Amino acid sequence: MKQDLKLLEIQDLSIVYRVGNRAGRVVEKATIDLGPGEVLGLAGESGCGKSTLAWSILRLLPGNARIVGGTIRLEGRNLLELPEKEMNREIRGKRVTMIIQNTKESLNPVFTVGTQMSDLLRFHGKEDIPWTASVSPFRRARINKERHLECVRMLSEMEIAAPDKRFYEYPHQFSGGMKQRVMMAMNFMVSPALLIADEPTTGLDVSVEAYVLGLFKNKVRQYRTSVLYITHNLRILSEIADRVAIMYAGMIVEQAPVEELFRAPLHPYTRALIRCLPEGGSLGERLQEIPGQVPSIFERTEECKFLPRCPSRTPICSEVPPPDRKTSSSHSVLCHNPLEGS
Amino acid sequence: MVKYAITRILWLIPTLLCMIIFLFTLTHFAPGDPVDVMCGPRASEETKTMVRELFHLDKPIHVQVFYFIKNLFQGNLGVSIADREPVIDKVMRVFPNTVVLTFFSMFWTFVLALILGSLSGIHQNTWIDYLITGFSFSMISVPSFVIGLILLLVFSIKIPILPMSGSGTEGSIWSQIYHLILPTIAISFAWLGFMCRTVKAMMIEVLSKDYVKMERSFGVPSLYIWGKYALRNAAMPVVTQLGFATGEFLGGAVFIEMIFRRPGMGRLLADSVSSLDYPVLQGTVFLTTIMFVLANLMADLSHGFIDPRIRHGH
Amino acid sequence: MNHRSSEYLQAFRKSRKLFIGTLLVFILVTVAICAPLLAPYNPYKIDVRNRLSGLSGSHPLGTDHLGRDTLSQIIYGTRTSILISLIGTLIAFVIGLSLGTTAAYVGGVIENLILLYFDVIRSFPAIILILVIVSTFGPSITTIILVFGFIYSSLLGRTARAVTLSVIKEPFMESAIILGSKTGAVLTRHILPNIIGPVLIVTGMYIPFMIMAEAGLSFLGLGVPPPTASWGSVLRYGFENIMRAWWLILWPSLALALAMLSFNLFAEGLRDILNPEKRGELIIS
Repeated sequence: MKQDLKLLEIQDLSIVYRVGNRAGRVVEKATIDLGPGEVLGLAGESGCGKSTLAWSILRLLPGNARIVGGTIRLEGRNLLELPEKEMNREIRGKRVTMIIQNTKESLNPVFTVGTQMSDLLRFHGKEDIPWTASVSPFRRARINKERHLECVRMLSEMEIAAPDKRFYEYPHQFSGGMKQRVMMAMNFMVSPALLIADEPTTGLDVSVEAYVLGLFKNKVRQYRTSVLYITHNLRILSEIADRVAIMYAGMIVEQAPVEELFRAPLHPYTRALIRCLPEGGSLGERLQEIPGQVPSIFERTEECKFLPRCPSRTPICSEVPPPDRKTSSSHSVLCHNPLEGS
Repeated sequence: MVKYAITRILWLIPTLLCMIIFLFTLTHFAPGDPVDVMCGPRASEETKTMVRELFHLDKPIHVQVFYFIKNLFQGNLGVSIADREPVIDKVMRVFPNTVVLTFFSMFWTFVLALILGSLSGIHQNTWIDYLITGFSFSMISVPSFVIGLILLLVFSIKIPILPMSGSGTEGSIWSQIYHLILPTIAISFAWLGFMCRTVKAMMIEVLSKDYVKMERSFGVPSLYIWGKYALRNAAMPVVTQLGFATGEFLGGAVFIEMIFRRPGMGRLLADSVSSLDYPVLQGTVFLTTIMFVLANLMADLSHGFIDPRIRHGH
Repeated sequence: MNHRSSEYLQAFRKSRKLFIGTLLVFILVTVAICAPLLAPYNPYKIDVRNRLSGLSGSHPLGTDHLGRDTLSQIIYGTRTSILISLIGTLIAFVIGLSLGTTAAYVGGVIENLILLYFDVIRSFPAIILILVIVSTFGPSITTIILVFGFIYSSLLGRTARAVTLSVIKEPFMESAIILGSKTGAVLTRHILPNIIGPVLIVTGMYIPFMIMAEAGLSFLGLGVPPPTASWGSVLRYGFENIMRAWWLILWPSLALALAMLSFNLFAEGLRDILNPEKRGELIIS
């Protein structure tokens, strides 16, 4: 069945954050899916819930967050039903890995890069020795050497110069782009089925960003990994994604193959986002902003969340929540009045 | 980093100099004539003059300081008034005891604070946390000599299971440890409370860092994160703090050595204070303060050394 | 300003720490002041017939080796502790604050001299320094208070200097100086309100230390000269008679722990309210 071909299926996922005695809806009935070897971009403004969605796949949400509905199926299994231990052993760092945004402390500052990388092999390595087992010193030395070689190999594959030396260096001795490549090395080293990239190039210089992105694209193709690529930068998605999902105020408002999305967006928000880019309009035209603000997560209304800022609103938009329309097998939009495709 | 270390070490010299001058000025502002104290009330004028000359007490202060430093380099710290034993011998005999007590206390404080503080930070807002935090807060309000007295009362007298006095028989490690139990608990008590809270705060901060999220996303078991990745980051400032607290541990040793009748520099100091044995007093204070200054220096440098970011000059 | 004071009030009501701390401190100070009214006996009254008697109806906390009532000694001891620690803290506060702000504001040679003074004091372990000085000059209440004041002024002064330095860097200071405010006005109206918070917090943290130091000195026989009642002295009597008079150890220990706990709670509670983040947390919870 076609269903079985999908690697990741998120259906009607809803996540709530408790703040004080109020509950804020951060993700509402999100439905996306990802096929094997596909790159799905997840775009939206800051605070729209895309990171929350990503971390929920790994079930690593902060303490005050609750998944209150929906399913997350990875290769057919509902991750939300897995016991935590299995989640840790089988899913995290094995089937699903993550690259996070480059910050000053995205890697542990007091351990060498090599230690951090080879530790991963301890838990998800090929020998399949439980990490708590005790081994003879000879075997341990041999294993360590193997791990060292593997890590160095991955580092050089990520085009890091002098990987042998770099293995023994600390994160602060790496530049931002290099740190991201180290993280990429860590990710691809375990050959995951799904790689979640949460703004991996945000904060990097433009030239470095381009380079890292290019490398990333190659590796994704090489390892045939599926990627959920999260960003607020549509331009990146135009280069790297196969399909794109647009998120607004916790809801997936449009999903489509990348070309179709840019060419003929159906949701007013998508079009407005594209118009925000210099490339989105025509030469000489003023950059269009989207007036208004994102609604608060605590607001509870029946109306469409984009209503206050939507240029194509109609009376029904304030009475009934927008329906999820499928205009084709691959394009869906959450709107009462989707735009005409051109 | 190396530059910093050298600068700090060089600073030692003027610091020690000021210390010596300060000590000297102090003892010479003491009411009464030190010569009288040294010789006793019934000494003759000639004896007094002799003593005065011998100890250069008739010369101006800077000359006395000069002689003091000169003697220092020769390892001569003067002679005790009470029993004419060279101060240096007196001090060297008891010095190891105090060092053992101080470092043993510091070691256990460190280990226990790390364990309990981490538990408290990891399991925030559970009964473990409330228990440990509650105890920690109460512990900092109990001075070392108070807890020493109570321990003495309860565990040596009322329920005699631990020794009351002494430091145990020479050479027998178990006896030494046996005699160290109560004194160590007494000295560490207040500091354990303090450090637990520091560790807890650090642990909470560290556990919210990006790299911990990254490690969790790779499925690193929680125990490993707590025991290795987070702990190393959380423990760094604690080590430094402990180093700076050496002086307080030494101060606590003064009282504890007295209460548990252990031979040590603290006891020597207390005795010399009550008998106004100035050479011993000076010598002991001098050495204790050197220990303190060195411990501070090492704590300062260790902070730079342990954190690889500072080590590489960031 | 109104909004701010209501914020403080809210936080105060919600902070259990501060509430209990203030309450306990209030009780302690009251006991200290009303000692003559509360103590059943004159603490100095020697009654050798009743020496080292345990708890009894007439002496609920026992007597010491001279027959003096322990309960009364504890009550009067509160006076000693509170007096010495509060006055000592006041001296440390005044000296530390003035030296610290002067150092930061004036700079130059004066600053270096002041810093030298701070560093020399800080390079000695506090307890040992106190011991040495008090033993040199002979123990008396005045000496003790002055010694405490001077020694603890060094840490306070450092804090005051650091905070003043950070305030001086603020742009509004420059404008104040440009507008021609006189030095006096600058200090009182601009610097002082901004630094008083952190400095007070640090000061509050020293009161327990002084209580402990006074008791410690008295325990060693270098504290307030007898017959003045002090918790430390009672502890010493207890130590000398440890085999027979356990009560002489228990009660002053409890009193000391309670006193230190109260001021610790109070100081910490105060610190929490004065810290905007924690204050917000308290109000939300």
